[in-house]
Amino acid sequence: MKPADRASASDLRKPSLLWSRLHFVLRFLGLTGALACFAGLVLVEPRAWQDCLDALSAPPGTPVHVGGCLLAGGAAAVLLALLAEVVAVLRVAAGRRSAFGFNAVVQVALAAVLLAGVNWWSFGHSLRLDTTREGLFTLPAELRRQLGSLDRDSETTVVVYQRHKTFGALTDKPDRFDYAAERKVVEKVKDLVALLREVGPQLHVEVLDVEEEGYDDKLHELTAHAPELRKAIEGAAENSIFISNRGRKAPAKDSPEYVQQMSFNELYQLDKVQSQQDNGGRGNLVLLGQGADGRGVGPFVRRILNLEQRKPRVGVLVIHQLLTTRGEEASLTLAGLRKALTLHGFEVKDVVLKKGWDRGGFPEAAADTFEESRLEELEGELADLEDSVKELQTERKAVAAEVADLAPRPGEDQVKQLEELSKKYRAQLGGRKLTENLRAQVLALRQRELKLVDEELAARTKERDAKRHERDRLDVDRISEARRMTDVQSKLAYALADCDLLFVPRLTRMSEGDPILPRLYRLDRPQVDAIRDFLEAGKPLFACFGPINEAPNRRMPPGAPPAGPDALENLLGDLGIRMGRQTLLTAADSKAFSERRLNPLLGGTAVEVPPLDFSSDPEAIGGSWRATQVHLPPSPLREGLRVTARSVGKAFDVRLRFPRPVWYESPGGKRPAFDPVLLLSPVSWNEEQPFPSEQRRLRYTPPAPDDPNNGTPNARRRGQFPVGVAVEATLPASWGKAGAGKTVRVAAVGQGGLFVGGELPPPRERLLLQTVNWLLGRDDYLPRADEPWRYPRLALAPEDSEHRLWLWGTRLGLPVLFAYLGFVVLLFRRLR
Amino acid sequence: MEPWLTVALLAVVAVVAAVLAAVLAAGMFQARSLIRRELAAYFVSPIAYVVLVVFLVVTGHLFAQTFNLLTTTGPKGTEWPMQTMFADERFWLVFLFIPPLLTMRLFAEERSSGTLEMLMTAPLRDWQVVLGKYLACLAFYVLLWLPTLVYLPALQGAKTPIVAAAWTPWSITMLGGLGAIVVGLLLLVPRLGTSWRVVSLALIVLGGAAAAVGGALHYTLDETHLIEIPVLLDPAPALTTYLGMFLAGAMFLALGLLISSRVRDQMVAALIALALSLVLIVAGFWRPEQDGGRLYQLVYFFSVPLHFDRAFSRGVIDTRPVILYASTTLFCLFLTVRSLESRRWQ
Repeated sequence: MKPADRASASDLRKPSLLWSRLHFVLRFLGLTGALACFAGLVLVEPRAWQDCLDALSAPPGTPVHVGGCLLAGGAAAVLLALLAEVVAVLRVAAGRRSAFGFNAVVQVALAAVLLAGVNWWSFGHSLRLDTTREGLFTLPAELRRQLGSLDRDSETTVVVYQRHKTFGALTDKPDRFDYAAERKVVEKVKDLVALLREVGPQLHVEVLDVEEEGYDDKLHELTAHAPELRKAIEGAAENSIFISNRGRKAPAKDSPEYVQQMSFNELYQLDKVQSQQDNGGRGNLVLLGQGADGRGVGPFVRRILNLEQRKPRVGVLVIHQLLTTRGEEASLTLAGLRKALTLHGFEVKDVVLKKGWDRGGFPEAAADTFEESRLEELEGELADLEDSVKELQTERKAVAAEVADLAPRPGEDQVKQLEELSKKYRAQLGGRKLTENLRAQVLALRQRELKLVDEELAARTKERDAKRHERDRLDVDRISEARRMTDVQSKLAYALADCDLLFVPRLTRMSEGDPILPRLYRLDRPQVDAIRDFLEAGKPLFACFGPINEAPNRRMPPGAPPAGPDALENLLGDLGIRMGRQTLLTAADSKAFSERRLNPLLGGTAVEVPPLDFSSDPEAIGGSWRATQVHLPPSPLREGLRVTARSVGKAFDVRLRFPRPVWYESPGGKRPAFDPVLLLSPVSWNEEQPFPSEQRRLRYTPPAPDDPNNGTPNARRRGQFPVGVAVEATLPASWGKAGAGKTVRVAAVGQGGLFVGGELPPPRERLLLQTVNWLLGRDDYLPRADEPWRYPRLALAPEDSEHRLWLWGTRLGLPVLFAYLGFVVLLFRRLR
Repeated sequence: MEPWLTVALLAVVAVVAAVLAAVLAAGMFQARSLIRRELAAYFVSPIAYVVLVVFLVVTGHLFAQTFNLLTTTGPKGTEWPMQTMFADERFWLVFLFIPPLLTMRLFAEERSSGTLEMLMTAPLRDWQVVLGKYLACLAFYVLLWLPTLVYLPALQGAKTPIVAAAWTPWSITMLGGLGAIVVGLLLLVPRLGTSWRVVSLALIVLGGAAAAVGGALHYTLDETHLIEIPVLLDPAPALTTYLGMFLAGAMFLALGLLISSRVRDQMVAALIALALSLVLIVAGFWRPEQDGGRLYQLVYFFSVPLHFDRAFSRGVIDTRPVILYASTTLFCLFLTVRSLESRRWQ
């Protein structure tokens, strides 16, 4: 090519002045348009595309309209500039020399697309390779398979609810161990949740933190279709996990809602005692992983898989409506028990075993549901109220008539009227004449009386209406039908048919106040037979029987049944459970009785008896009540309680006043599968007659050498006693063929007031829940201690010289060494 | 998919990978002088020592903090020592500066001093120049991490090694491989001819393969082992952390190399690389709630500190960050080659 040709080719590649200036203007326009678009977006605040279009038709002059115009104009300018850029790129690409560059640009663009594509694909199709020794970040294959088999079309919601209260639930004053445990458990729960998220779309996992901004909105959104879930979340007292069958979509009409709840403690539990002793006494954090895998994964997944399982139902057998779980008297009610059980996924059903309390004398046998008993009570109360209202209405009528008579009428002949009134009310006036003054006084008196009667009538009417309303809410037809069933055994069997566990409390002697006469609890044979049938069906029983000792001077109404154990206690005896005849007293009781004898006005002060002993080994305590003299594995239930007690430390404090000893004598000398002792009393002594008198002080005295009880479990002694047993009992052949050889779980505690109260203190709640779970065969719900987790600790103390060497060697040693090398190199470079 | 098709596809991929590796190895062998020169340049430059010292001061401080948690009293502690050390924000704030400082001079210095033209006249192709410089930089980055291996015995709770005379075919293969590596390294020291260089490199590569295979089989199949170091903690998190650090470092270095190839001033190169790295590091400081939402997933995807916090430092290898690091590294290296090439047609 000639030089002139090269120059002309160069000129061709060079853009013309006009194009260059036009290009600049278009680019400037595009940039300004982009800025205008941004300003327009700020003014319009669109939530959808349509908002941008609607902004143009907004009233002129408004910020939205201005924004719309800016957006439209800006977008047009940007488009124009982009068009110009495309033309420019094509022009450049069309050049011969630019072909290389264009080729490179295409390659780079393709590589960028590849980079974005690969990462986009990897974002949605990730794999996690867990290289840890124990596979800590991998769900066990079997659980993964089970979770994978969940219906992909339905969604299960898992809510991790952080209330920032986990291990402090049992104590008012959480310490540094509680806080450290909470932090660690929350971290572990989050890891578990991350694992669950990988299972698939059938699990919708959400974390709900009460301290999070927008908590209420998130809760509302989560529970929009799940009212039961909301109720459960709002009722949770500690960090919990909720599992609901309601997802984000609206459920089908009438589809039932299921909610399962578990506390973080069911995944990991703090072992506070071990935490304090670990690391050579220098302390560590020791958590007890729950479930077979020691990570809580098993219990968690099981709850998800069993979400739609029927709730276990606990039948509560009491003798009076006040003693039920819906009773309103704080010292008698089992309302706290109901609350604890329902909150943890149980249903509760009350059955009242006595009726006819209002007839005087001893009540008769019954098997009424709470509603039946309540209806009977309501009917009695309503009858009283109706009478009362009628009487008041009559009284009001009379008083109102007097007021009408006494009230001065306009234009009346006052003298004549006074004379007439004096005649009419001669008897009340006692022969006196009614004067104007006296008339006014009597009228005021009657008016006040009328007002009082009106108030009384209104109150009684209101009360009657409320009772009527309550009665109307009861299913009177069904109750009436049930009341027609007169066979107590059949009726009780019918009432218990849908129960999975029986709880029979007998509150006899309370911590304070007059005792309830023990013989009031005596059950009739048909009632006991119904309970026996229940046991023969393989269902468990939880008996809490208070002492049956009665004060010697107590007067009995006529027709009183005999004192002593009843047929139900004997039934337990058939299973090997012996309820002691005595009451256990402690030094605190003795002191309290003495103080009361010296100062009668002190009666009623609270007595602080020592707490139950959850840490001692019952085998080491020994005693003639031991089931066998051979070593037995520990009771899983007692072990669970021991773990909880270690978790909480001293705050796990259950105190029982006036319990009775309970022990187990294996029928036929058969060796039990585990140590039957569940609860151990503090140091106490057993007293046949635990009621003080002026002549008799209550204090321990050793038994006489010829005491017939010597050598038996009833022998008088001082020490620790079993006050609760939990056994897997074999039903005796004598009961009949139906249950012969079957094994049932039975627990018995020697105090009926263990779960009485409107609210259960957390330690009692734990005792109740763990016992109930064990009785129902849910052993995997019990706390376990075989998988402890702790922070790794090196065998070096901060005061060791090796410790200091490591610290300073790495903090200073290494940097100084390389600084030294750097200086040497620098010096070497300067060397000529 | 049919099994034979899977096997055939894998075979094709393996052959392609082997050919590619061979081409790269041959190319790098040709560029060995450049690699040596670049690596040596780090050791004579004060900036490398400054980087090394600052890096060791920070990691030493973090080690001391972790070590204290491993020997403390009360309910404090650390379950994952590598997480405590390398998921710490202070570490990443310092780390942020290291790759730009190491890469800023690679091309920018050559460009500003005018030696780039001379380099381009060398009998090397553009990709060999880029990879040669990159490998030298990566080697220095690896060397930077080597002193931190000193921390491992303490972080792992290692006890006195147990040595046993376990002479099995696998242990002998492992020892033979290690011996070959040592011989290969020794042969690299004197100035010998090309054929000796090939022999020494072959000894290193083959010895490494024999040591790896023999070692893996010796420690999985044989009952007694030549040497065992009892450790208190699971060693997997340490291995995955170092793997993650290598991959993440490779990505940041590739990014720095690309920037260095585009600008003339070293300081500008460092600042731009730092600004771009910031995007991948600072997002993790936000520490969004791990609610599994899309936002968290997105932040997690791009945040290198979060990758270490949730995965590498706890013994988990997540494919997302691995692919992100590897693909970004390759992309940046490709762009660097194109950037170098562009000098020809601009």
